[in-house]
Amino acid sequence: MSHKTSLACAGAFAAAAILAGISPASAHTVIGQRIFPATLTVDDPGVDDEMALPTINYTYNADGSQSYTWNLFYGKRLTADLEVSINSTFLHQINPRSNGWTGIETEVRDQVMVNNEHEFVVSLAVAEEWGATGTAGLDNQYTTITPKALIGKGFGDLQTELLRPIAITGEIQYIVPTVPNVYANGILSQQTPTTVVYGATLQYSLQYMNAYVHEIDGPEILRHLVVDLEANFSTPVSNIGPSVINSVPGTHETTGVVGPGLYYLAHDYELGIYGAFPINQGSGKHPGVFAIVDFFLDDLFPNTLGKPIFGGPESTAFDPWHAFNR
Amino acid sequence: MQRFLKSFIITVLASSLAATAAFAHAFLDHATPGVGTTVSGSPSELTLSFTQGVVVAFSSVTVSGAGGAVPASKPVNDPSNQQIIHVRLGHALKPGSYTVTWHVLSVDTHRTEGSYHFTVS
Repeated sequence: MSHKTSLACAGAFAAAAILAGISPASAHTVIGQRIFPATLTVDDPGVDDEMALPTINYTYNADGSQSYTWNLFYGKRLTADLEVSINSTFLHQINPRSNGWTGIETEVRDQVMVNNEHEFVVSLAVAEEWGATGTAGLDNQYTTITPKALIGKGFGDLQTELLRPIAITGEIQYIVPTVPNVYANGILSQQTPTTVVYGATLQYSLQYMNAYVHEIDGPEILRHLVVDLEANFSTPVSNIGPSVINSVPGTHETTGVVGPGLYYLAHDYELGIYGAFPINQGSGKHPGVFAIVDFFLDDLFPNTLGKPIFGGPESTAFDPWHAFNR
Repeated sequence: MQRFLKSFIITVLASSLAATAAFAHAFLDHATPGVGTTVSGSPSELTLSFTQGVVVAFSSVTVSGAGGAVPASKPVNDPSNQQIIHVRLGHALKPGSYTVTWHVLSVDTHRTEGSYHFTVS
């Protein structure tokens, strides 16, 4: 491997590490009166039939490289509560230059709790990023398995009208590489830490405000906006290896981004943009930009691609309110 | 590449401004009397405008106030726009707060529901 190639791969791995916990694409979720948009750094908490073409990230990495990624995502409901999805990311990096696919990721997700009245949903998922399925040198040569838990709660059940458009979502992932070490020519080249990724959004929906609380006068566009604050962090927790002096990000360092997002829910699709501010030097040198174009297949093709393969469209997930209030 | 990203952002923002916005799930876009508003005098009917066409045969709208449920007609589509439904009230509303509860089936078969308040002064 040439020095230039090594640098490119190092930069690409750095970018991949920063982005690893950031869900590249996801589906919007409708729970009762609430639309949880597909947010850019924290996966939304439910399931749907959806295609994100593409989700774009721009990051200025700590090592000085700049990365542009295009993620393609397709999610399909098997039942009203069970979704399978596949996605992959194309990486274009400059300084040093590198291009290619970072591998294929699949996921199985189940909505395990739903209450429409209280706009509440909990989902569990298992994702696999398959090793050696991308461009040689850019993808991982090993598979990672990632159990996830996701939660969403809208506050439309509050009495204070101005608070009813608020919603929160959260996500926690436990990323487990299937091999502890990677060797090149018999020499240890990389230790693969287990990582916990966690994030949350605080959303305020003008769409919800207009439809259920108080009509919004003014430009039509305002009735379709959701604004939010998002934060996403990644912390290595085991198999980290010794600290490396001057390593950026540090081998034991928590990395992440925080920032505002703006989402426009339009006819059959969603547009979103997010300003990513690194929390420390290891998370990036400058703010980045993420953007998404998300197509709602359940709305575009309600009788074919956009409906569950088995069963009806109504969730049959466990409802904790009904169960505990009998 | 930066030029591409800027162009992309400008394009998506421009398209969002130009788009005829309507969620494919039928959500309430606006109503008369308006959501959360106060009107002087009783309206004779309610008009609800959704973000998508509504099948009135499988949809319902109820109105209730301090005195209980208000008699109202079944919803009918606006002759010129399937996204709009009208509900005639059975009698004049006394001053007070009223809750409108709607359940609709959109033309793409999604069911949605919601409620809102308005006040008659």
